[in-house]
Amino acid sequence: MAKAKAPARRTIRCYLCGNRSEVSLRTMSTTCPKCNRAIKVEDVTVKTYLPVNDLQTCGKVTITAKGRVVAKRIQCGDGVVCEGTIEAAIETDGDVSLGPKALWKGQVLQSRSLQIADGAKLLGLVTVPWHRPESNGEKK
Amino acid sequence: MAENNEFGTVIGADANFKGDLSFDSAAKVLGKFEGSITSKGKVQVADGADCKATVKAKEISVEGHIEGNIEATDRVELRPKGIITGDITAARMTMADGASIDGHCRIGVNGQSGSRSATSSAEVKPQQQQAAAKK
Repeated sequence: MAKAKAPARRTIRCYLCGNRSEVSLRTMSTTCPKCNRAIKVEDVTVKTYLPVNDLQTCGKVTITAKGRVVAKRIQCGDGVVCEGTIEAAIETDGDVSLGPKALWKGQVLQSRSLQIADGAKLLGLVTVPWHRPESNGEKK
Repeated sequence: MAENNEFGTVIGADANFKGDLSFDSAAKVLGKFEGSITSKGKVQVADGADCKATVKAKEISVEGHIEGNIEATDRVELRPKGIITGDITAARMTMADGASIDGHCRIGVNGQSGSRSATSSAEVKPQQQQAAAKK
C-alpha cells in the first residue's frame, strides 16, 4: 500500500505586501518574491513576557497561560491562540481564539473569525470577519 | 414552540415593531425591531431577527442581527449566525466561530488604571525614608 504523500509545500501570504507565494513546509523564514523583504514563516509560541514593537509571522502565534505580549501590533497568517495576555493590535488572515483566562487589550482586532471563551476579557475595537485587501500588483 | 415558553414576551417573525420596550423577565425577538429594548432578564434575538436597537439586559443572546449598542450586566452570547454592528459592554461574553462583530468591545474590564501609579508611589516612600535616615 503506497502511502499518500502530504503536500510538501504551503501557500503563505506576505504580511508586509500581501503577496501570495509557495514555500516548503520546512521553511522558517524567506524573502518575499514581490517586496524582497525578509519574512518569518515559522509558528511563534510565547511562554513568558515578550515586549516587542511588531510580532510578525506568516504562521500561527500562540500565547500560553503565562505568556504576555506587549507590542504595537501582531500580524500573522495562520491566526492567534491566546490563553494569556495580549496588549497589541491584532491583524491576521486566520482565526483568533481567546481562552477563558485570556486578556486582549489593543486598538483593533481584525481576523477572519473570532472565538471567545467564557471568562475572556476584551477591550478594543473588533472587526470580524476581516479580510486583508489584495495587493495591487500581485505576482502571477 | 415549546422553547418559547421560557420567554414571557415574544415578538413574532412577522412583526415589525418601532419603539421602546422594557421587560422584567425574558423576551425573544423573532421579527424586525427598531428602537430600544430594556430588560432585567434575558433578551434573545433569534435567527432571522433584525434589530436596529439599543439593547440593555442582564443576559443577551444573539443569533440574528443587531445594529446598535448592547449592554449586558451579566453576559452576552453570540451564536454562529449572530451579527452585531455596534459597541458591546458586558461582564462576560462567549462568541462562536462564524459570528461577526463590528464595534468596540468592553468585556470584563473596568478600564480603571490607577492602581499601578499608587504602588509606584508606595515603593518610593521607603527610599525617601532611607535617604532621610542617612542624613
